[in-house]
Amino acid sequence: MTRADDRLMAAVVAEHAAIFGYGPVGARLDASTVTLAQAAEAAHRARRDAVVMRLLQRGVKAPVAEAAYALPAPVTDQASALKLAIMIEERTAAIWRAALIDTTGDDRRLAVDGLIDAAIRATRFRKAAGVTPTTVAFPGRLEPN
Amino acid sequence: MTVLQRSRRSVLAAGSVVLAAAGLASGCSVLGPDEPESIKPPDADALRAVARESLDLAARYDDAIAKNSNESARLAPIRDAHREHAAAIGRSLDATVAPSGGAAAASPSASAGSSGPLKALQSAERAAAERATTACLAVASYYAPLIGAIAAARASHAEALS
Repeated sequence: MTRADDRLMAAVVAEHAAIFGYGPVGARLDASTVTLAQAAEAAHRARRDAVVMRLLQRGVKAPVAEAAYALPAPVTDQASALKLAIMIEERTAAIWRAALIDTTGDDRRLAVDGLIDAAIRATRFRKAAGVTPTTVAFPGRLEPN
Repeated sequence: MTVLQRSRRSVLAAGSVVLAAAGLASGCSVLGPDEPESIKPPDADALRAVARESLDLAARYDDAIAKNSNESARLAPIRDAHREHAAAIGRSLDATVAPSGGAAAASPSASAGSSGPLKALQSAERAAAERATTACLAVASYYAPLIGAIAAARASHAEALS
């Protein structure tokens, strides 16, 4: 196991959690925003599958998904659902950003694409939630920018 | 088993969804390798190029805000982010990054039409995100998180303008 493998394993865990999180999120969104969540969930699935495959090719078994993950706050309405979606994307961005330092070549490409896509989705959900500004200066940096 | 039942147990672990948070808390610091003692010339060039582009983009936003003050609330935070990017790279280089002679800033598309300026900024952000992504893939690992975050910020700016 290399440090790059460790980072990719952490990313698989984050992607599993993100996919889970979009269940309760999607259930509370109206027709116009639920498509955003569906697209986000599909993207996280595709990314997770790509990382799992990458690890498998090296003989590394990726972590499997938990049956459920704790939510940081109850998701009771559209506002709390969008808040969670934003958080999911910010946290996923952080995991991918952290992966950049221990990866090279194709692995770093995977990581930077994961970071960029999460940042774009976070902006989409901030727009849907009416959060301003809709961007942060350093996506993936969890402390205040 | 319901989410709720599971939640009671897992709240002990991290308390936060994206259990990614658990990963972050357990020592997966972004700050892996120490800062290299000296930056390699190709890396320095790549970082300076990204920083210059950030300053050029900031100047274009200044221009757009001056021409269209009712977009200020949306555009000013993006302009400020570009300046922060240049400053962060400057700290990494431990040197001042001076604005370029205005090569990219002179792009004529910035002043085209009434809905043109935002569209032009949007495509400039997309192109700049691509260049930062390329730089992120090329630089020494210590600089990759910073340049990757800048690429992601630029891509999200394009989204914010859509």
